[in-house]
Amino acid sequence: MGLRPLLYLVGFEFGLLGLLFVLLFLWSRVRIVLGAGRARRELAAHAALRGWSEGDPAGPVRRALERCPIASLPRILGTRAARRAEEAGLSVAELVRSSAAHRRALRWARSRLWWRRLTAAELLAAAGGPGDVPTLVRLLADRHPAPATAALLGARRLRSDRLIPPLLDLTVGWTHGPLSAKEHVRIVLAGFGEALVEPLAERLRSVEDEAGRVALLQLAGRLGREALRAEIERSLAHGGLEARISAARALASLPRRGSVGPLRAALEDPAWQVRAQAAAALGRLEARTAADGLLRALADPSWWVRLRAGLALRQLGWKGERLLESVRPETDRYAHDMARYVLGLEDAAVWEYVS
Amino acid sequence: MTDFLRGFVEFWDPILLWYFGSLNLFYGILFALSVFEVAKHWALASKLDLTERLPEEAFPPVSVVVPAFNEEAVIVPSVDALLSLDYPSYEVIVVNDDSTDRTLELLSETYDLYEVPPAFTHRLETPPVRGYYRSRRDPRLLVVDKAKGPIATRSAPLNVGINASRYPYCAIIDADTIMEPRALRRLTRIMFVDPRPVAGTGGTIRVANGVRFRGGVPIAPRGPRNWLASFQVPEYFRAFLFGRLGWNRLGGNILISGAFGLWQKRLMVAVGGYDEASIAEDLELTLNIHRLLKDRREPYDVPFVPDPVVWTEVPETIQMLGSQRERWHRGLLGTLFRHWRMFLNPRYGFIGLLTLPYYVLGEMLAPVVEVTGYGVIAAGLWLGVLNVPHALLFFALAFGYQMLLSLGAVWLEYLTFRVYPRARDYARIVVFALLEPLGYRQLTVWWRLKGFWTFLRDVSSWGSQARKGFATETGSGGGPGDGAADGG
Repeated sequence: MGLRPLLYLVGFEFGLLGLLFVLLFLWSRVRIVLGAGRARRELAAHAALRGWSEGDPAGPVRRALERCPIASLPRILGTRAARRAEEAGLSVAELVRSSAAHRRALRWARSRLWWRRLTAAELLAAAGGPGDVPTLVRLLADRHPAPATAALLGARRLRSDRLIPPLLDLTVGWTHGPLSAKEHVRIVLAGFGEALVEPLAERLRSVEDEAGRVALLQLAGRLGREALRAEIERSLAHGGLEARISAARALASLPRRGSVGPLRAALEDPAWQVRAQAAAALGRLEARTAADGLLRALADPSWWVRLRAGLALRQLGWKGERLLESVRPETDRYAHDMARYVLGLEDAAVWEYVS
Repeated sequence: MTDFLRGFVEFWDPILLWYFGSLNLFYGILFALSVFEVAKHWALASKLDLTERLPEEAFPPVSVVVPAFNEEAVIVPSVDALLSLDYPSYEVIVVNDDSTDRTLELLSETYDLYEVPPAFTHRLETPPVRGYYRSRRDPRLLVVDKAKGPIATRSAPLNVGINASRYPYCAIIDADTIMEPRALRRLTRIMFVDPRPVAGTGGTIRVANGVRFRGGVPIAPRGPRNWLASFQVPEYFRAFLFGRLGWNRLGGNILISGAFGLWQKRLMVAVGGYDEASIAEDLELTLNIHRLLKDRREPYDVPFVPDPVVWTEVPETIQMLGSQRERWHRGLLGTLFRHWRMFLNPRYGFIGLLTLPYYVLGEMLAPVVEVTGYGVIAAGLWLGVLNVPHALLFFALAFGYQMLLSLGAVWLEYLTFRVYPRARDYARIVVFALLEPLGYRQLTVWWRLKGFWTFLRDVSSWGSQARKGFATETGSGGGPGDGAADGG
């Protein structure tokens, strides 16, 4: 390449960069101007809401909300002025629902642009009513994680029984967002309380794959209702390891009386992971009647089971500690070593591993 | 001799010119792409920030792993900052890598540590651990005292930290780095808006020299006073704001910096954790995870997010900066050689066909090409085949273009995040961006060439590191620190 073509090439590159700089500058100016306009309209809405909460008529609020960009509405509805208006006995959500902005937002729920669907879901989360449940169901199944996550907030707010089946589907099949997203779905579902028990038991009866069963058992554990006991106990005999672990863990959240027996039986499970989980669950339940089983588990071939059994015995209070002290090296050296180790731990250290 | 030189010049002249033209054209494209990415992330951080309204339980729990070797000067402010993060569910795991100074004693005294059972699943092979200690002052803090392993790199303590972690995500941060309180929240934001599962992500690293902190928050950040640190500011802007953002649009980043990154733990475990034999363990891990997921044909993304920020000390002496840059280049060479099968392999998509070729040609070989270029010009002038005005014009073009790119990165930062409130700090940064090609650049080329030499000699040392400490509201002034922050 001679110098002249090189000069053309580099000149072109300089020109390209220069053009980019100009575009960058223009973009920043446009952003500032648009942002200022949006901020002005948001401020007007805030002021109107504040006035309304102090006794002004609702007309200016309605007008201010109509003028506000739809994308700003969820943010405005989350502000202190909006909450004060609610506290004053006036429902901002109802006012929004009767506005044209709300109708536009509902149309956005069907948009091809994910950020529009997100705005719609966020608006429903802040001001949705019972009539918005079908839209919320659609948004819960959104292929993009952001609208689906925002729709979860709407489900939390509305708590309609019609939302339980799609939410249970998500508990099993949610593939969006962070790895912990299913836990978020479970927390939202647990808020449905008693209404969830029967549909959940039904799902536990019919679920076939292990991953789905594990997800449902975790939800059952969070709910902690006696009515789910039969299904949880049945899962203790499931062929899948993870299902048995989750069942043992879930039993710890049910009332002690019915859980101790199955958990004592689980201390004999062929998998050490299940035995360790059963020992931990017995400790959490402070099951003094299972002390002998825990003492036997202290001689388990697995270090993890021995540790969990030792910690569980510490949780039983003086009775458990006496049992730990009674372990002699000639009976079982490993059980003795673990008993000494656990007895030497600070209370805080024990608490950390059992909480 | 003359014939040889003439042949040398005639052979290299067209190659160098094509290399120069095409690489700079690619830089221009990368810059253009980064502008779109900045606009996108700006929208995500402002009007589309869903995380502002999410309940606490929606955020993924994160284990923050901090390897620490002889970090007595910085460890307490750094851990203090980590314990003050505005994030709902996280733990901090400091792995003391057999420090010979008072790192462990300081941690024990400051955070009132007590021993806890070694009840952690050992998913990764690591050197032995002497003990695990929890803080009475803040139970989110776990300190792991690791014994010395056969190889002294950051990988072993990081793997120990991964083993001790209990959450599904691991954030890796250097001990000489201060994380801004909302950085973790901003880093996880991308998981809620990325349609593909986020395998890992990284944020921006900024130069902490000259910045005062209060509880992890920079107070009226100022540019560094030290001239060597000042040269590194535009370098970091360039690397993070236009380099990595641009790669977001070209198949994802192949480098999530070891000084500030977040990964799915299951993937870290699946690739065997950090490679203990690697000097560039962050690059190695990123490439291993790309390779794993491409082989499994799983959809994933490894995006860079610009607004989560950590602040790191950068070297303020020639010797330490040289050692850092030589090590980075040595690590790059080793990692690229280990992954040569991915090079130009269509199975690995953009990573194999574009990113790795760029790293080989535009990063790995760049110092060799640049020195050859200087040689060709010198030989051309000596032989009289190159006329002086043209040579000067070429230099002006080359350096002018680099200056323009640096200015673009500074401008991008000024128009968007604007971390330095005073315009005069930006003016100073601009001055250093303009001066960078006149001496500083040649120094970095020399250090990178030394990286080739030490790589060929199979040197695996990490190099010495010294810390002066962060400037806090009550502390003493900031100073040099090596830090594995990857600005390049």
